[in-house]
Amino acid sequence: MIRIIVFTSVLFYVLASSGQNCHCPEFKDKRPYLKNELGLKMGINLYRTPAFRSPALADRLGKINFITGINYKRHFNRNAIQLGLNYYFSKFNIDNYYYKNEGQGKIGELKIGYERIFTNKKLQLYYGADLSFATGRLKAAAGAMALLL
Amino acid sequence: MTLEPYDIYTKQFGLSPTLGFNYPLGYRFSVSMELSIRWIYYTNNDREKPNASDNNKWQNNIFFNPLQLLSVNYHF
Repeated sequence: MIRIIVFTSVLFYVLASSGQNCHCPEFKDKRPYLKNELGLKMGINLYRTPAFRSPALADRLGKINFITGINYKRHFNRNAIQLGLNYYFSKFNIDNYYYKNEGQGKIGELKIGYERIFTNKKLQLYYGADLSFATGRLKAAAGAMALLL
Repeated sequence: MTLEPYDIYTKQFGLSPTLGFNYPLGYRFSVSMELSIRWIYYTNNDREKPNASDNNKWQNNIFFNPLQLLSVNYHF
């Protein structure tokens, strides 16, 4: 976990320190504005496996997925529409005094969404919303002490 | 404690408000980070327990899931 954070931080710093130009329309660079964007989702993606039977156990799992999918965006100045495909895989083995859950989960997801940039600076802040459809399978075995269920 | 097997097939429809930023790395590359909350409308079907009462029952829930933190982008 710490290695991944350090690696992505160093990578971000090295690439950011070499970047001078911007693809955004408001920036001073006069080269053509690039409308298409293809993104690879990587790094730290926290993914929570659904709890077994009880909402009380819902927050107990968190997995890191290093690469989860690809994303395409089409920009229209400050607005963008996006289409994404994600695949999450998690293999888990939780074993403590009061709860055990062991197995694996896979979920595929299709997303479509809208975004709007609301800053003029090089660092572009944006907000948006996505609609998604996901389907998957969770195959495992679990047990808990009676007072938790 | 005894372990109980489960084999859940899930279908989910989701709506995710998102807040993020994009930072250019040169002309063609950028990185972006975003946080989202996801409201889902879902159904589960446990094939280990075909007669379970909550099989194929549509429910809704709010997750911080997935919390997508980083992506590397290519512009063209």
